[in-house]
Amino acid sequence: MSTDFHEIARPQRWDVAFDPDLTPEEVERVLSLPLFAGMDKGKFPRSMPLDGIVRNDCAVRRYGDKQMVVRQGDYGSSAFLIVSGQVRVYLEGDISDEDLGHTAVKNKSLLRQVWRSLVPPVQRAPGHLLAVSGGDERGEVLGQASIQVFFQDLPLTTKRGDPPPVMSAGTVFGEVSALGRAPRSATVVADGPCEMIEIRWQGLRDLRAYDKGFKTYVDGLYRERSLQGDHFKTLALFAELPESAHELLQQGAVFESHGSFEWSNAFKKSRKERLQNAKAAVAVEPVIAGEGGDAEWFYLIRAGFARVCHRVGAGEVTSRYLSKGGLFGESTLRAMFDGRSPRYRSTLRALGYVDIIKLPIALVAKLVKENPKAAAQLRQTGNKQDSAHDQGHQQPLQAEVMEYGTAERLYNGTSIMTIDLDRCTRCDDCVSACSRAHGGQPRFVRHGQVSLGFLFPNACMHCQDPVCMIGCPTGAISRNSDGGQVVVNDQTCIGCSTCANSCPYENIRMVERRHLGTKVVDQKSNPVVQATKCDLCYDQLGGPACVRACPHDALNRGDFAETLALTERRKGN
Amino acid sequence: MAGWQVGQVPGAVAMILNYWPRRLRGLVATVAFVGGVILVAAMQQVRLQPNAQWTGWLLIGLFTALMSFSLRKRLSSLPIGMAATWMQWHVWMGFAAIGIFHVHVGWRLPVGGFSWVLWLLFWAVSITGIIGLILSRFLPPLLRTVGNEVIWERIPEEVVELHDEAAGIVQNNLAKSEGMVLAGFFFDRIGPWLRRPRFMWLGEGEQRIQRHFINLSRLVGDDLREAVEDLEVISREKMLLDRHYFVQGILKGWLFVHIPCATAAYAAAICHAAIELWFRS
Repeated sequence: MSTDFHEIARPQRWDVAFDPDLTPEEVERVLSLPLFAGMDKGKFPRSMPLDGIVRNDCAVRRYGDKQMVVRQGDYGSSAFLIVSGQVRVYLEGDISDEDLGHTAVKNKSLLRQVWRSLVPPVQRAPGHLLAVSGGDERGEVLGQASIQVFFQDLPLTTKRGDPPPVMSAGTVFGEVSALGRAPRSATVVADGPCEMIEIRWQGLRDLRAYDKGFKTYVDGLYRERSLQGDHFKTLALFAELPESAHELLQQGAVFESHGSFEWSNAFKKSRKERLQNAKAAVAVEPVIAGEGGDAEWFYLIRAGFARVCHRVGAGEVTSRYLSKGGLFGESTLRAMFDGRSPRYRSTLRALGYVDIIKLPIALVAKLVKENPKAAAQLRQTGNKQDSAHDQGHQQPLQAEVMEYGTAERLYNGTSIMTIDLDRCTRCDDCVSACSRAHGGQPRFVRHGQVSLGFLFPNACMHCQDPVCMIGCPTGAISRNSDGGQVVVNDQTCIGCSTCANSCPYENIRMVERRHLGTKVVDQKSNPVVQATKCDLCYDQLGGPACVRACPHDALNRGDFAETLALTERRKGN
Repeated sequence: MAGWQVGQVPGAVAMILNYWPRRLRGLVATVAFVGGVILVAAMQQVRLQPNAQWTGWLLIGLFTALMSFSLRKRLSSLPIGMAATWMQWHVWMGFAAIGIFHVHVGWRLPVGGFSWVLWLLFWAVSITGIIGLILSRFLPPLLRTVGNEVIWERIPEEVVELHDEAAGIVQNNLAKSEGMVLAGFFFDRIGPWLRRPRFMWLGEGEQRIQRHFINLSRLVGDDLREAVEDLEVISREKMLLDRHYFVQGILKGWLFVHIPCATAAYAAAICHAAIELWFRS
């Protein structure tokens, strides 16, 4: 007898443990480690016990000598605790990209692409779901079989000539990437056999939430390590400074965080208020440096975003936004070189959340002044910034997009979809192509906000700071380790809607799971849903199908800077 | 795609390939191609050599390439180039086909029933193609000025929602002193119009709607003022939806003429070639 639905057990967090092979004995052993033994089990809620977190969010990993643990540049969503042995740390440039094996996305297949475009709509195989009578098949599908990479010849020294730093038992690493939703900043390689506990970030988040000591420890590491690395050498302004100058910069650097790490909920709730009172919306953004104030610090954005604005009338106009690697205070430096008083020409505000490194401006001025190349660099970037400063007056069109994009946090996107309404014939070929590329289920709707003749559809922007990942209980939404695209794993999504609710841009939709054309329901006959969003066709040849399908060159994808340039090019002349 | 380097090809050619606007490049290439075909055909004619056969095969080839654009649309998820590039080729090959068609028929009107069918179908597909090209360039900016982006397929649904909302307002105010006046206005003036999307662009629409409502406001008291204002807002929204329905309908509708004409022309051309081959053999 045919049925109208396919019944499964409603998916839950911890249906699939991070390490399905973790035995009760190993859980006990992990709990006895100093880091966990010191935790007060009573502080953890009954729904989220400490041993449950260890059982489900931790994995025991063993590495051989010279085996890679994490690779610089990969997007990771877990931290590691070294149980025994030690590891070496290599920063960017210490090991060549070739040796690191940075390659293009694998598993692209033309044949599969052809098949996918021909199969009838919506065939989500429920094989990976938990059938009422079935076992835990998802664990098998997930299988934590990590790729094992061993280095034959590791450099004995870093590019600075020092031996690579070593981390030994009891140390936690990987927290910057796990908490900051950022790429790994270093490559970590096992130095002899070692054992580690890998904690996926959901577990890390819960341990931080319920154990004060762990939070203090991890946050301390986050701050300390955020200051490490070659942040200054990668910047054009400081690139020519001698090693001694870099040491002085490192010594004088102070790390600070501004705004809320989980900014998205407040942002989403305030949408209506923002539209009604833009001035008030800006006013709530924390001020890091105020226009006209005495300049004491020079700022470098470490993570997150900041707005640079200046007073016009009773309000503020956005000159530019800053993301990772952005600098604030260059115009003040130039003013100091010209003998003027060191005051900030603009205001720097945190947009949502920002990590900054601040340096004493007097020290920066001294070091830059002493180096003619750095001074020339400062003058060169200064000219560009001065024009950006006056952007609001000189280029009203681009300034409007800047205000719109900043207000709507579009700068967060690395692949913003824009449709030029002067070119779009509303043929919906983009949506059809998306649908064909994803088994009959389009991942976006040609609907959204319109600004300056451009439609910004509700399509995932693959944010630099993907806040949708914050609450995911199973880690189903994560970054693709190859290209950094934010993707949803159908196999582990339990349909809790947390990501859809967290996404400030409403670009994630919950859809009913279907199997062979019928609904999938739980034992109470409620439909089982799952999150769906644009995946940028990351596993397909040729890139995003939507872009390729537009016959009128109306649809584009790019980051905010590219979007700004596009609006200027298309509408500005 | 990496650009051509000066040195790999003659400098002027490299400049054309890299820097000339896409349309100009297409125009130059098409004119050169058609010009070349005309030249070769004319030289053959001078030598009293036939040219109908090879120009015919050339046309069949062009038709096939033109028809493949439709296939590319259906296989949109495959990595077979940007649709925008295909579109450019489609347009320029279409123009080239017009030139070569003239060479093929010898710059004369056709003789015989089937030839007339073929000739008419060719012009139908060419003219609808050119009209479609013009529409697709000029209507989107017009549509943008309408505002209120809406998906065409959703318009009937949204119109019904507006109608129901308006009917609800009227029903809620029936008991008031001039409620029947409002109901009469709804049933006589805006009700039928609100019921379904209209394939029309109301010229001076806003003023007309405003006049209707000014007239209505003279007939009702203050207690119905709010209801009248709400109906006016609904009517304005309906007018915008109609405009979208109209313009988007045209943007989609021309294809319903162009594609059947193209399919018929292609089929007729294949038949024509088959008949030619049959009689030749």
